[in-house]
Amino acid sequence: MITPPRTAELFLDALAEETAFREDLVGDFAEEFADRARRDGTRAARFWYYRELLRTTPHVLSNWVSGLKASDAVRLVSIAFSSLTFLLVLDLLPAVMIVSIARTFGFAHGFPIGAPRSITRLLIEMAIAIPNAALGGVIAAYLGDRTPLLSGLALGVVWAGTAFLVRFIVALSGHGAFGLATIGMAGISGILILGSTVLGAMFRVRVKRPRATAGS
Amino acid sequence: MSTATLGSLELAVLLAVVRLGNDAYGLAIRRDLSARTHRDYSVGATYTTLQRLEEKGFLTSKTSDPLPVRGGRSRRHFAVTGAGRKAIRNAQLVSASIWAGIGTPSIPEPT
Repeated sequence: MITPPRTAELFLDALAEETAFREDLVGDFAEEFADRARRDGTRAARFWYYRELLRTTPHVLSNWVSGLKASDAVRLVSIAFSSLTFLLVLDLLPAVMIVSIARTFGFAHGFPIGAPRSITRLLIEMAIAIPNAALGGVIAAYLGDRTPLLSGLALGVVWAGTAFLVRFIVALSGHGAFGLATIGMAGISGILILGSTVLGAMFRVRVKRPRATAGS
Repeated sequence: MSTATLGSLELAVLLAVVRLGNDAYGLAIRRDLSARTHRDYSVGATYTTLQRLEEKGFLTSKTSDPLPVRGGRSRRHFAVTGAGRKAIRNAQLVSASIWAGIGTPSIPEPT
């Protein structure tokens, strides 16, 4: 039984908005993949799948953007903010617990908001933010069921943008530096958050849609 | 005469659908296009064009039964509508009109 690369197929599956369009795309990819795997071998077929996915994504996105209505954009932004709010509420209880435990052991201060001054601080922040962002991606894909990947992306953009803005405001108010290094770190954390929300959304699609197998 | 205009890829896709008849589905259309134009069109480019043509009313489609080779998904077969045939005829007339009076040998060779 020949099966296309799972992650790439999930990405494609989560990308397209309309159900019929999605089925056509994923089905054609699967059929061509099976043909190529028989003719050129699985390795070459997998390479073709990833390359074709890269070529197809801009077409699907530009097609979606060209048909975008104001109501669609408002829906995506509201999904992003709703999932962010839902996530904050979910995070509140463990956060209170962590702060209480930290205070018990003599750490009066938690992690202040601001520009990360060191790689260690950035790593700690990311260790907390990445699983949170992935969970946020799952929530966004659940709320925006019709466009799971775009909902996850919207959340990532809002989240990373807000984090960047907060750091900028904090730096402007004199509580931290905002040099090139800070911008670089904020950029890296933004990309990681965006990637995590997308992965979270893909995970939701994976759970929701059972895998179909391609072969002859 | 149809008011909606056709792009060059749209025209090529419509003609491929006519040529393929009952076998006109995404993958077959893409293969036909690539073989005739010697260009490797992406799956996304083919499908967004097919979708646009259907929205313009030049194509209709119906789905087949699920197939194992497509991972249990069905194929969507396309057919050209009356408006689509009119648009093809119109494009042919426009093309003939543009080429009128110009023989291929008289086109200057690129230097």
